[in-house]
Amino acid sequence: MKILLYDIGSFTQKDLIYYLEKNGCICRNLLYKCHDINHDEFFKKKFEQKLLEDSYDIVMSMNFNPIVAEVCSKHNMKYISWIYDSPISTENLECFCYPTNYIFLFDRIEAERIRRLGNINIFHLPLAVNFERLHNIKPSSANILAYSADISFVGLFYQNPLKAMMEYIEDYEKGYIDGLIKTQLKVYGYNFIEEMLTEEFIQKINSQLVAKKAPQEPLTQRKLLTGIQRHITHIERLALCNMLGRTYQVNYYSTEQPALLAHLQYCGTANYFTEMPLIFKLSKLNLNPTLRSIQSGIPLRALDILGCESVLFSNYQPELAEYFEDGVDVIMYESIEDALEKADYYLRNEQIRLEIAKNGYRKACENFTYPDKIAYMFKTAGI
Amino acid sequence: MNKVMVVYEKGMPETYHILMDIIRECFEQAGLAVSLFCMEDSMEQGGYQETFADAEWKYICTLDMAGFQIGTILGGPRYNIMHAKQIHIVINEESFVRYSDIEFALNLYLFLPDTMRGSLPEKVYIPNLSFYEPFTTKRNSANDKEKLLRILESVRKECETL
Repeated sequence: MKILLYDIGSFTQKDLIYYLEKNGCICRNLLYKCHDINHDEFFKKKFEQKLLEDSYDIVMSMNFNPIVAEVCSKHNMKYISWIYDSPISTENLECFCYPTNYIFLFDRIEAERIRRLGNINIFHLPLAVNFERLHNIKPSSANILAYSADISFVGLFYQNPLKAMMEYIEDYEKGYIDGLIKTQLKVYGYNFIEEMLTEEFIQKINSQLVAKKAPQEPLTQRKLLTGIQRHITHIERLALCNMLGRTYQVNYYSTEQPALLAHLQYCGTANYFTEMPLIFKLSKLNLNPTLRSIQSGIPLRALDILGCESVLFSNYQPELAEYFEDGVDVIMYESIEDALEKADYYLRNEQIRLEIAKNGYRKACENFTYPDKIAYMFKTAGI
Repeated sequence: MNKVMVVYEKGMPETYHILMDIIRECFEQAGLAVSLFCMEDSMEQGGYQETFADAEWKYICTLDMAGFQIGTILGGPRYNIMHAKQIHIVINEESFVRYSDIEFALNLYLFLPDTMRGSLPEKVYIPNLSFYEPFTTKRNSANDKEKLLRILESVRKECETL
């Protein structure tokens, strides 16, 4: 089978291609970062040109691209996309509805939300991990010196995402949003903010923006929701790193260097393929607070950690709890206080930690392999 | 988006300036502002990120793969995630060798000297690959000028009509 792949520059593209080729597929990968994923004439024409240059059986991509979907629909070509980002922008809903699309999404709740929007071929499918690649990465003695830590965190802090949105909003509405943030911060596994941001509330905010001649575009519920979810993630990640870093050696790898974390070891950014697995393998606990817009799914980073036979230290997340048991396969906390207590307990109990790493790895190997997920996608798409 | 960045390595041969002058002239005649950007060994990767992150570059043109050492967290060249249309002209074959197994994004146009025809690894797919007859890099060479203009125009024509 000949596959044309579109590559947005995704972390998982190489692993996907590795397993497709192992499965006997012939793959051609087209790498391009769209400036605007809904409108890019250069990409549209170029992609179409490449599609017609050869006789492909299907088109695939990690994440969904509306332009690829449109071109595939035009040429009656099946397009399989496997989404690992959340939330999904559905502003251009028409492109989701093409019958040539087969969209697989790692977050069950988000998949259900999109399915309700129309006649869309969307399916829930957790992500996978390349155990072979990760297994072959062995830390050297220099690596041990460089990357060993009690706790490591690799990721973004989403600095000040909500500030600009809130600038022109009245105090009462600001207080309402603030109250939602404070409450949601304490709740894991159920996201209630979306239902609290009613149409009436959004209209009220937008009329305030108009009255104050705010330079920004009107807010939509999705836009405000995403801003709030990112802000909660920001507060949570900062608070966890800050507090854990007062007692333990916490190394963090990020593009950002928040002032609040000046007492921690900032280690710059980490190369996904060469450095990140070493960090996970050499850290006693790998902190991974889920981006709050991921409502139920298991984030890719969580699987990356488990695939390294390392201890995943995550918030409670519904789909994670379906596969893994807290304290047996992974460590899940239900509040910041709980995280601090669990960090203390597990850092003092090495044997239990090693068992958890082993169990988590075994369960991940059983449930999150590329060959299984690829087979499911092909079967669903009738290939 | 009326800016063009021409990237070169600090230690490049003096004769390359002849080609850079032609590139500058060509883009300036098309109404674009050209900035020359020198890659220096002493400058850390982070020092380039701000310049490379500028979304205003319409075209990027390099000689001998200058700047390909600036990478992303995925390990590929930073150029692959930039939106600018790019013209990468290899003059010295050896400059390409260390990058011969990398991926090239759809907006990267690679020009290799004719002498490299057939020498690329089979597995590597370069979406926009062309070969050209090597330059003489002699001052006032009408032939070089014509060849270089043809390269630049071929990319501009495709990018602006696509």
